[in-house]
Amino acid sequence: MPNPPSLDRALMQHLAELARLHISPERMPILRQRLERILAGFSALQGVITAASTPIAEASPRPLREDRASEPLPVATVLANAPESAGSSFLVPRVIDA
Amino acid sequence: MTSAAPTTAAAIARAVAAGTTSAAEVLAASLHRIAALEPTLHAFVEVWADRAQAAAGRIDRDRAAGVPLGPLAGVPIAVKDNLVLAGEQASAGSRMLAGYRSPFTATVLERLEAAGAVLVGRTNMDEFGMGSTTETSAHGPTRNPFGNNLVPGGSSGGSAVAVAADYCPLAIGSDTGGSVRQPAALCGVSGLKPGWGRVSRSGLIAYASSLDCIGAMARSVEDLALWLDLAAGPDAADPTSGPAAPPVSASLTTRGDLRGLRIGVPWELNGPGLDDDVARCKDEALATAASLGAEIVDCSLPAVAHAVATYYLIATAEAASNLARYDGVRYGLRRDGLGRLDVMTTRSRSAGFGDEVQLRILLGTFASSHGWSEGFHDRARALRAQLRADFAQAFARCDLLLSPTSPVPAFPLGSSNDDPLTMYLCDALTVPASLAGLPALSLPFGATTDGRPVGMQFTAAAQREDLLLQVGHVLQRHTDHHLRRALP
Amino acid sequence: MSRFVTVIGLEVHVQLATASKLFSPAPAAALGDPNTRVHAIDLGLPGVLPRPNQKAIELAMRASLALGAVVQPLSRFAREHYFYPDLPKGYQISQFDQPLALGGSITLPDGHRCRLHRLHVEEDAGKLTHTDIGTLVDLNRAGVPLVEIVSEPDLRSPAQAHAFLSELRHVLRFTGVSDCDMELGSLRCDANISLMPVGSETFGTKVELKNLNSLKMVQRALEYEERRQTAVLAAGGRVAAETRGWHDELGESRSQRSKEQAPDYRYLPDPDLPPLVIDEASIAEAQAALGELPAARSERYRAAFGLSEVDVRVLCSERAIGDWFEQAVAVGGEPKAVCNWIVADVLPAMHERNLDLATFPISPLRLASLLRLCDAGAVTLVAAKKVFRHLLEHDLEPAGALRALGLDRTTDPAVLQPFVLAAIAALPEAAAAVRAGKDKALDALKGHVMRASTGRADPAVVETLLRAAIAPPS
Repeated sequence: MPNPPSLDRALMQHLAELARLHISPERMPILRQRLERILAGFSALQGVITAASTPIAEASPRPLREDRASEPLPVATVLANAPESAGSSFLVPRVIDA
Repeated sequence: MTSAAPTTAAAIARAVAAGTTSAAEVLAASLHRIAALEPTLHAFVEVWADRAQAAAGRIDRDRAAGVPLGPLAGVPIAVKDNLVLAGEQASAGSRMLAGYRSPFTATVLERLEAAGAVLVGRTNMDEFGMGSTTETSAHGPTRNPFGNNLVPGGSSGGSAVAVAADYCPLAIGSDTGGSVRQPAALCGVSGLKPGWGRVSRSGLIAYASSLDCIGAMARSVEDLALWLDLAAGPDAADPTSGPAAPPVSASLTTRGDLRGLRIGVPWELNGPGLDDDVARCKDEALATAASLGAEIVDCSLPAVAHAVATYYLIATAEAASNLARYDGVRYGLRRDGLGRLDVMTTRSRSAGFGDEVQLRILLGTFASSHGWSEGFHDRARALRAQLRADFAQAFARCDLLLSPTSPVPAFPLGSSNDDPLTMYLCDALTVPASLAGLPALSLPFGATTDGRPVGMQFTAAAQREDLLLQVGHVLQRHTDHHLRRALP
Repeated sequence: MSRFVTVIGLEVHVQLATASKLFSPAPAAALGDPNTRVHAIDLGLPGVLPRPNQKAIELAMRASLALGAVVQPLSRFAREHYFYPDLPKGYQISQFDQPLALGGSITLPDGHRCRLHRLHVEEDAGKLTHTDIGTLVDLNRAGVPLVEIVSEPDLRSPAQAHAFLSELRHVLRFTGVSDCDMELGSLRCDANISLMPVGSETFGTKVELKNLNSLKMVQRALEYEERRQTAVLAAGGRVAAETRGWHDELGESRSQRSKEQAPDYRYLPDPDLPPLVIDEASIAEAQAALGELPAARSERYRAAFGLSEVDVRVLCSERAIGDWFEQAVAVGGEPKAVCNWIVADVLPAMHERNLDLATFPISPLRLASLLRLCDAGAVTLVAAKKVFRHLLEHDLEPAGALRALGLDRTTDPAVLQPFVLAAIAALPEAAAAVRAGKDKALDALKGHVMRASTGRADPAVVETLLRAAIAPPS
């Protein structure tokens, strides 16, 4: 169990950047309150961990897809929902690393 | 609709096949009712009248030409706004996907259309499935036919209302932590969440992949069985789908009563915290089951104590991941980034996602972030394993488990906004089966003193949808809770 | 002599030779106009799910076995998250804590053994082009199957890194895992490099180098970085932990980001994909498909056929070449002669015509029968080369081609006499020299007859006729 991080503004901002979201000042306390609840829930799970050793049941492996190339989407379909495009490419603002 | 008109999917398909009614007539009645009630209820985000009329016309022509009809021929079906249909819009209740049109069709819809279903429109939902009231939708709230100030539950609130208001005998929803069962309970209809993987997720706009299940709502268990047989089965487009299972419709009537059936009552899902009326309905349900010969057994699911916390950790972490694709590049809402890509993406996401979705993305980002997630995955997995083990132990002693579907009946619109905890507690009884990937069925079973419907949830062991539906069918043959309607 | 020891580790991305992408049925060849090789899955459209490609997993297993890595009975796909417009889902499907294979090694020609850390399967990202109007996003490449091979930090010089890559490329090409074409981006490399004082056992601070798109570039970039770090340390400075991009045109690397800015990828087991369960039977199948590895084959060729090192290297450069060679030898071709023909004629003709050995018009069986005709004296070497070129265009047996070209060897004096007289007339000095007893000059006259007769003349008969014509019995 990692130490609970302090739920400060810096952590909130870090999360917002990772998620590419802007947190308005009004929502900051709500987010903090929910994070605290998650942390509390997490602490409550501590006792549970030793009990279970069986792996969770997952989808049983299915036969994998045969390697056969099929017709790709028409370019018009590819770009049909694009907010902006140029030629047959999607167009975005010049990339700048955050 | 005249009183003689068929009202279940099975009866409509039979009548259309027999020629006592036509698909066009059935659809016209459905569209008529929608037009009359939608201004109040707002179950639909969009009605596909033209598309539906074309489909109904094809079925009637096929019948005239002697082409064999499918088992859902002419049955109007409402579809949750998070299932994609080629050429049509699907928004998952979000501004982010306003105007988005899919180039492909969800497997489940393909199978239903192939069986002759007439898809009438897309229904309102909590944004990306994140909510229990349908109030987080970007399209505005949906109202419960049992009280226009009441929520229909969520997130498949629109689909539940479409059945409750008799728009359609059958509606498709999706259930991540209770999103089919809970609105079914709050609107007085039957709702089935199959086991995880039983129905292909291809074409379902993802919320939390390891929990998402496509389910259905109907008046009758018979219709749910009909639906499951058509919808279920392995699909090449979903590597987590399958395995194939024998059809359940054929065995639906194998039981005349409930003799020899052991119904477990896990105290963790039936204890304090239940609304008084809900507790009373639960006791009546147990008495009914016992009177039909079932043995009632006490049991326990200790890991349920941690289920809601685990559910929110897993669901939000997966949601943050699944919703990372909405970046304003290839589709979806885009806001100007003043020439900067990161600004474009941040502004688009902040404008496209509603408050609840943004909060859950941030929670999920936190839950999966470095230095924090290390213990998290193990713990979440262990808890799920423990919960499964608890269920397995319970199913060693009983055949089905029973609890209310929701601890509370439908509540007024707007009342959960002040206290999100209420909203989370709505899921307390439904998330255990979701985490364990088990099939569960909610049946209307009585009402509060002021007439709001109450639903009971039956949970079965993995792959035992057949047993769930057999028992539901027996109960519906001996009771009339499922026939109680809000509107004339 | 430097006071520092260089420590290098490599991360190599190799495109698997599949027809379709890793998780979608779109064509894997990322050619053509932007976004013309794209499926809904590659766009990350709402509602799509990944569909794993059987062949990609098989090829990755084959690569693992070829490199001596241990294929894990259970591995898992995970999502690696970051926002970038070349990454349609906002995450890359890769493998994290449960990779496909662990361990393995590559032995360099100098005998140095470099251990491998792991091998995993992942999908490629799309391609961005920066223009004045903005950045163009092309997703043709998005979803193309890759294996990532991570070495241990066992390499001690840029030259060893070069040798490692060239050996790796050889093995992966030989086994059909990948075409490893660096120009087309089907083999890409990142490197990390640190320096430590001679005698030390603690590694120095490592720097990651990105954008290394050719073997030469890898070596140049590492040499540059070796010099740069030596200078920093020699001046008493500290090397910063950072990622640097190599700019080949400038011949230098530049800092991209420091370790503190290292991204948080928020790895998550992919809930859309069941775990990859690989049983003993499928490992055995992959092992069978692997066949003989180049090192074993080289050893066998040296021992069994007594071929030179150069010959062995050519024959073992690709599996198909060795296979073709062995087929010709199996039907009676003399190994050295077959090898010479492969080097001098088969491979050049193949490249000239842009063919591969599978579609090469002359079968190993036909080459072997051509060589038998030579051995039997039925055809001269010059004529045999002509037959070979004829066979490239015509579906004939060598004997048939010989007749069709009128090249069957002639011993008839009546036919050869005019050629002999013409040679003496053309080269009177040579004839005089022979007459004077200088037998060596006979070769020039013989050569003239052979050329003039387009190789058909039997050299023994020609010699008899020449001697008779130059020095008639007195």
